[in-house]
Amino acid sequence: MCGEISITDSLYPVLLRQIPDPPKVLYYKGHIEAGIFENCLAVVGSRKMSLYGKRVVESFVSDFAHVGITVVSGFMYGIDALSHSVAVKNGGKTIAVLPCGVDIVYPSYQQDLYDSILASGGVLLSELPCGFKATNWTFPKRNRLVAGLAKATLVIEAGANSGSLITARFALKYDSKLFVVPGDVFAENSDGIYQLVREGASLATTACDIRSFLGVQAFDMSMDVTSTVVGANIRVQEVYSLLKKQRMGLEELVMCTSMSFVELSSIITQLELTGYIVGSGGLYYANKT
Amino acid sequence: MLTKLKSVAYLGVDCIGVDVEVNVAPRGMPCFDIVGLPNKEIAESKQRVRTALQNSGIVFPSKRITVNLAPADIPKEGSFYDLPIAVGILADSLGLTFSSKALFFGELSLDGSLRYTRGSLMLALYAHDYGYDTVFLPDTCFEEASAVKNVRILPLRSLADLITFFKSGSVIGTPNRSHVRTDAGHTDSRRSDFSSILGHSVAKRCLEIAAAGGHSLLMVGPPGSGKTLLAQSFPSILPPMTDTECIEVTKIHSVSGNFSAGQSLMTARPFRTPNHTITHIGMIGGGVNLYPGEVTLAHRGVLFLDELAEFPRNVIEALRLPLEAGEVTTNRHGKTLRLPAQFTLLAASNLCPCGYYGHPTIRCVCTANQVNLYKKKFSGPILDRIDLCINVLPLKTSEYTDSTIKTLPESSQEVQKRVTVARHVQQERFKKSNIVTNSEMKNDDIKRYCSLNNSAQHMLTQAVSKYNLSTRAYFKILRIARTISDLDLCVDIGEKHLSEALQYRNNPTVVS
Repeated sequence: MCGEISITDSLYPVLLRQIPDPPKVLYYKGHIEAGIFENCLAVVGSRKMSLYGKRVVESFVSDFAHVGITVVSGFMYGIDALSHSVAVKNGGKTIAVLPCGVDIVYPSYQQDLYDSILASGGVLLSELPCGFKATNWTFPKRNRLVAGLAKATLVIEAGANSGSLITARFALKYDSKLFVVPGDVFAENSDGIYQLVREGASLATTACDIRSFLGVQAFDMSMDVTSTVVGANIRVQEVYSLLKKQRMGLEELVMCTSMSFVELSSIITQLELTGYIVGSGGLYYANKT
Repeated sequence: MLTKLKSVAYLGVDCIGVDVEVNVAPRGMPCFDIVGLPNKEIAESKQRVRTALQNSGIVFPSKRITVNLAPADIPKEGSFYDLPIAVGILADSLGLTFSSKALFFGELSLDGSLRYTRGSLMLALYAHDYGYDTVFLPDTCFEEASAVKNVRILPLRSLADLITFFKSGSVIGTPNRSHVRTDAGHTDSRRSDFSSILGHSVAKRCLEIAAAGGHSLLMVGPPGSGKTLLAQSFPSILPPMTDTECIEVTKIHSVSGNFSAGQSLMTARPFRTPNHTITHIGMIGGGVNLYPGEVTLAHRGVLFLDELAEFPRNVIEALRLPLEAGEVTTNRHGKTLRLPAQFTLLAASNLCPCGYYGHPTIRCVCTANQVNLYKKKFSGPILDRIDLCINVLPLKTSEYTDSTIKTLPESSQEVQKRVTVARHVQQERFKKSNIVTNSEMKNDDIKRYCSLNNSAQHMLTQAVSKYNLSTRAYFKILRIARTISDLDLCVDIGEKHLSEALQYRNNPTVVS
């Protein structure tokens, strides 16, 4: 069912070999080709992802996928799971390090993601043998592998007691680069982020910051917010320019634009269908690309 | 002497004919027995009838009295058999004769007067349908029963009135038909008007659409965002009931005992707000003779479930069939009974146990797993049956403290006017079919009545692929778009109607 790589094997990730306590054997599922561990970036974050975190992952990770950076994460719901799925969707490689045997899908409702990682040529990895169930101490153990596999670790959203902080601190301990994405200073998902900043993490505000550290050329893709909506009237432009500044709900837009609710909702749908904006939970924001 | 009188037994919100046979035998040991599966209140009728007769100046016959309520295999309940039993005894002792086309109804007080008794409208309707011409009942029930035309309703204050009537034929003073407006169906006395709610234009618009098309609506959001207040203002924009609806609804509330003396037909749509500790019997209906539950009491009105996620799962899941079929079908005493349950579901909920998930400023203290588990309480089949879903976010302080906003929001009356017009449009459309509102349209009806113009058709095709809409969601959007264009008085569904409908597609699981 699952493959094994021993520490003496040439396929064994080089970076992982350098950590103080590398696993003797790695169990994996999927196809391990030479070079898959070469350009790894760990992307981890809160389980309780906010809309902001979602936007960051969608924007950053799709960029990484296009330039061929392998995204390593922990398969947990929230930022981790989204990072895997965005990487898969954009044709990138991704490695999921599980806190249990690689034959166990944990959390079990992420079976689809599990399958899609395998189908996309990604790898499921664990130091625990098949059939080993996840338990409280396997999670921090797993986090050490996530940080150990990657050249750099990126933390997107982390609360004060987030498990992502464990991964981040391993990265600092292993002298690999630690990036964090700044967030709203009032948000609970920023508490951990700013703690890491104090401990020496670097700020990343674009995918480019991380790409240039890894020395990867930019993929030619217009990733900026377009300035205007092509072929739309002035009212549509007005709504779009408001949403470019900050995310808003319909209620606020009614207040800001003096347009009727009915008119606004039709504009919003138009913008949403043409992909200029994205809506979630009653809030809308201008889309990248 | 054997006297046979006609009466009824309630079964759900219908009734079946019952013979009240009173035999007063001159021989045998004096006694007073009631047979035919009477429940406790009917069994106790013996004491009430005996004392009431004595206190009305009649000597209670010292004979062997047997009362049979036939058919004997159907359990009877209700206190209204007092009067027919008393009349049966009077027929023997005073030699009264009366038409076989008369029905007697009412609970006796010990002093011989008649008390308000629940279910008089049902009896009057029965009398009308089965060719009875006269109904004797307590005067306090007169208003309620007189909603039925072509039946002579004779109000009685006491047994003495009845005796006078039979001796002299004089009709006791008929109370004026005052038609006291009644809100018997409302369990929530706090009301608010749209004009008193600032902001929330999205939620108000959704309520308007829900009222116009009878669509069910789910509001999710943190505490204090105004969900309950919005829901409480919902009755104020509902269209008035038609005459048949009034009778239908009043019948249900009359038999379930929500009426009090002197009330007449209900004209306001019921608005039911059961607490989340309700049992599924309380919600759906139950008991020996099938007592209507909240879904039936909300018939033609609104069932508001505040804190939907706190309701027991079995109670929420029990709503599936009534929401689909518009009625509750069950079985009692070998008969299939149907309780009408054509209601608009209005629900409100938080998104996590602490409530603040999705709040713009206050932090939610729940773990991601707790939030996920909480969201799982809204099961797929129930969400599928909810047409509209919106997030209600709290107003920003500036939105309610800004003194520059001088214009008051639109009043409920204005909205109600639009809603009523839209209902008329629907009535015209569905004249030939047996549905009333857009929300009841099945897939065939949607194909027939929801024609899109070309640009709208194009937009819908785009939306289906972009949002990955399921078939059910597709039809749901068309139903809502139909109502929006009805509010706009348009025959065809246009792009703007469709684009608005697309904003309310149901996705409460994704919130920032």
